[in-house]
Amino acid sequence: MLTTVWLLAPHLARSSRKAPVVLCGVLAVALAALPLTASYQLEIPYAVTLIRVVAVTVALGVAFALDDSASATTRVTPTSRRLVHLTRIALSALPMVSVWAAGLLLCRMAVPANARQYLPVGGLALEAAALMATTLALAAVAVTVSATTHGGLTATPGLLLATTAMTLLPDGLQPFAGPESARWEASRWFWLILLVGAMFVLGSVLRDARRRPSAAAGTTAVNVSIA
Amino acid sequence: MTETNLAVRPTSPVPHRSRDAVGALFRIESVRLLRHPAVLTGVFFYLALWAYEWGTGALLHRYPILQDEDRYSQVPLLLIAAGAFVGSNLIATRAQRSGVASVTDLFALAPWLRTLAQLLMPLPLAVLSGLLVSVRIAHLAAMPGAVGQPSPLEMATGPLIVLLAGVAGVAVGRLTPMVSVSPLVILGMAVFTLVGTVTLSRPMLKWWGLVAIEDEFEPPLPADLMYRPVAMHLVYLAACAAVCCATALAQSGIRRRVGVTAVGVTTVLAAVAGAAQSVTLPEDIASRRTAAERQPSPQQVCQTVNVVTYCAFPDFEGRIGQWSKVADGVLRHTPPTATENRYVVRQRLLFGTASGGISLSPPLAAWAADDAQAGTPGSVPIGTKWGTDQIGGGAMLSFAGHFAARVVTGDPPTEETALSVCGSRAVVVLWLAATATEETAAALHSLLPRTGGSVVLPLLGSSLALSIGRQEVLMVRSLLDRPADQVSEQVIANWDELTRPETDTERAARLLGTRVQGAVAEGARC
Repeated sequence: MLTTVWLLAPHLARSSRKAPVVLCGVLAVALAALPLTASYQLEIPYAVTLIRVVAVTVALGVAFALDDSASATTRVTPTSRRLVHLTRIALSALPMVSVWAAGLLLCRMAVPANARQYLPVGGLALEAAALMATTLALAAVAVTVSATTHGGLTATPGLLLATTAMTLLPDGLQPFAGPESARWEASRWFWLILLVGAMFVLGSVLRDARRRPSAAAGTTAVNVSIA
Repeated sequence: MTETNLAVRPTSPVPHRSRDAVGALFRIESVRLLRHPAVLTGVFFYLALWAYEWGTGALLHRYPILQDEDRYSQVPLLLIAAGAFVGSNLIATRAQRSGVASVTDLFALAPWLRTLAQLLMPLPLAVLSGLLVSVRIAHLAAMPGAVGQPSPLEMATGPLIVLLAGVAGVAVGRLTPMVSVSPLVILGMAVFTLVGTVTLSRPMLKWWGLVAIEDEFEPPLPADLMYRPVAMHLVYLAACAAVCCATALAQSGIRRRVGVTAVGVTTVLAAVAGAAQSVTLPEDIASRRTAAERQPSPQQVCQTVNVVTYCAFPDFEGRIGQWSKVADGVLRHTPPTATENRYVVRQRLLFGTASGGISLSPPLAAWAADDAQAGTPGSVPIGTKWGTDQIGGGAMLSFAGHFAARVVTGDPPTEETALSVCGSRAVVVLWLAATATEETAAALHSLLPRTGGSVVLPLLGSSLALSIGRQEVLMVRSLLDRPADQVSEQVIANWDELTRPETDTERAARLLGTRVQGAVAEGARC
């Protein structure tokens, strides 16, 4: 399987959209570096907000990962569709995860040294992972039910609108709870459930077409003929 | 997000005049924008937040102040504005995304006229947003606790932002067909709005953004004392929309000189309008604020309910019924001797409590002079904050506490009165305040986990506060667990001794049939 991934990677990289990854990556790093360049000492709540903005930017970067105008032509290849999609996701997600980690470090450096230990890195990583998985799940659903190039078109507004709506929720339900608020622990459960739900949707949408009973006969016949 | 041709429907007769064609294209595109998934999602989230607030009964306990609610209506509309931006951007780039851009060159209608039709497309959505805002404000105004008057200019800001977002989506679509740019523009605007809310020390910055959010810890004001450069902000937003229109048209094949001139002129206009949004408080409003803070009685309206006279700024006259519920609740558990007195409650403003914090002392001498002039000596001040949330609930409980202290001590709030509320008096005052209404009881219960066991009830958020020690608070908590009528009988029967300054907590405990728990806190002033 690794050999297949190794062989697939350059071709998938060539057919993936690079602009969103580059634009969002640069923007995320630039935003995270702002306090340091302005020599501004970040307090923990502001640092947490900035890391959250970086997480949303990073999630926007992976939204276009599944867009592939040529997917109709590669559907009949013997390679597992799920493997192709997961490789595509990895090609966008790995750089963006690094960008998030860099953003986190930059924000952390802007926090005064004695307060750094109070930065809830694990909880923020959970939020970022959930946001990224939700974006990918939205894109995967759009690619499956709409056109193969509509993943990012659907996922980016979806993510932005959902995030804005979440920030407007009343305090008692706020998923973006402050690290010192009593809601912090409870809000982590929301993100965990969102992450698991998004992974489930992603996994079930990206399953291989040949396992579908209706498509099974045709796909097998094509595979055999190609083989 | 289905693909369609930009041309007028082939089934309808082809219009001969370009104005008709622009009109026809505008009608088609505006309907497509209204039912665009991004716009529908934005409207859905907007309505869902509203429905949640309504469904959970949060709106009923909101005590809305309409001159503030008009401003609050702008932020949720950003959801629809984001949907409008995405939708209009996707509509403007439809031809490029579908690979039929070169075919559209064959249309009889000039490209700039097609862009014009798309620039007009967000108008119906802006009208719909205006309707939503009006219904929202009407809904809040119909709440039993609503007071004040909304500003039409503030209400118009949200719909104008939706219109601006719509034309900005077209402009960005004309500048670049890359669809990954529009989410980043929205993200940029969201970050700018966020920065505006956290840099309250630089009040000018937020006015360069879409919505200007105020420091919500500041107490609400009567409408005539508020100052926000709303009219100029509307001009600024309209100028920004004009910049977007000019940019989109300049990119659509109009003559280069005309395009550049239009973009230049509108940009200068937007910059001038942006800079003209002055945040400096005008002289007349500053002097009116000083008068309202120190001598509000001439401008207030008074009503007497039972034995209490309430004086409020005209915008807050509707609050009198709510204040009287609390005051009556306090007086319910007092003997007839206490209700023989006549009490006055006067609404007061205290500027700078949000920035100056608890170090700000109220101008008690000026207030006493104002009361003497109005013939209402010994009034109990009440602020403009009111509600069941953390801030409003605290204000409600503080008023109940200071009114109870006025009843128990017989003196209006001063530093000496506050210091004399100790021992038995403190128990009676806090118990009266907490049992006044269900809402004051809830406010005390939500306050206790946030304090170290003692309770501080500041007067209008100032340094003048009633401090109730840990022992007294524990005793009140045990009294609240018993039926109020039973405790009430004991309080009324022992009123004279319980309200004497020298009666200590232990004696009060014996009189009320309970016992003292816990140790006295170190550094307690009683």
